Amino acid sequence: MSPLHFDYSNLRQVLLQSVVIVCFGIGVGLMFNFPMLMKIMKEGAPKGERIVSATVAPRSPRTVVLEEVEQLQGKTLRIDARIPELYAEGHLPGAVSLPYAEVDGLLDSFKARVAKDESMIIYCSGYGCPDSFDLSLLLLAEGYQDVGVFEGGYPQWRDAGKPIETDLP
Amino acid sequence: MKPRGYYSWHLCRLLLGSVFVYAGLLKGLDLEAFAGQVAAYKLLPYQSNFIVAAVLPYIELIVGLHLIFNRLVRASALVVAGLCGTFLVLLSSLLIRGIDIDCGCFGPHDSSTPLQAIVRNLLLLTMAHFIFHLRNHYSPSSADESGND
Repeated sequence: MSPLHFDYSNLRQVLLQSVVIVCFGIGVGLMFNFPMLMKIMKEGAPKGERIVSATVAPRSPRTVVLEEVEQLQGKTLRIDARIPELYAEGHLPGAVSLPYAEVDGLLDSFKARVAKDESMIIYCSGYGCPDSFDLSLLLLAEGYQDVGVFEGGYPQWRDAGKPIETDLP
Repeated sequence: MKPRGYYSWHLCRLLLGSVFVYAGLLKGLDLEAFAGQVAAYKLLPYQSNFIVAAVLPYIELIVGLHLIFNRLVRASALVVAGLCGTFLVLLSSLLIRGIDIDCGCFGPHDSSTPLQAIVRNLLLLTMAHFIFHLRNHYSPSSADESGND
């Protein structure tokens, strides 16, 4: 059996060929995706940089109904995604405030307090409000595993006569 | 009779080529989702994620096809090694920064953890190393042809 012959010949040529392959790939990629790239360059980030990963997060939040929110009291973290003023006026018992509008400044402290495997339910101002869903995508992209969205939100909870907590004096 | 290493070398080449063609196709089929996965690494500005997503699948596809068809094999193996090395750095940065995301190595539906992806990349890097260094040992005739390597 012949001894192994490590091949270090024509290294400069091989290196040049590698550069050509990469440049060709870049050229073809830019050419085929030119319309998409131009659109992205013109439009810019839709809602802050973070939303890119959030909107295409591989997982989706589960939907939680009123009865489940009630049953899971004490077992799951309730998150109020509305603005702090609305939270102060009234929120679900035990809910913590994490307004989606201010999430960039609050996320780091939230991540420091809440473990990635903690179960959570997010709500906002009902079916017309996208903040709970957007926040759930963001938290999923941040690595939280068990994220639910209560689509009926605060209005459904309140209208069902369930207990409300307020932070008003 | 061909040495055992001869078949191993060609099997390695075909396997590595197929892996990269597969990875390139899966990423290329849903570029926006792949851009999102690049963005999840939190390393690049917004638009740059799309540029990476636009070109990386094509580079993977091209080197994969070269490996499969036994053309410019050493150059392709070098590019593969470069890609794997870059991926290893990026995946390690995820572990260091404590970011727990799916690696996205095989498109949007790949749910490998960063650690699994690191092991896989080390394996691919070893294969690229094997293919690069033993190219003329196991495939000397074609290597001598101009433009074939």
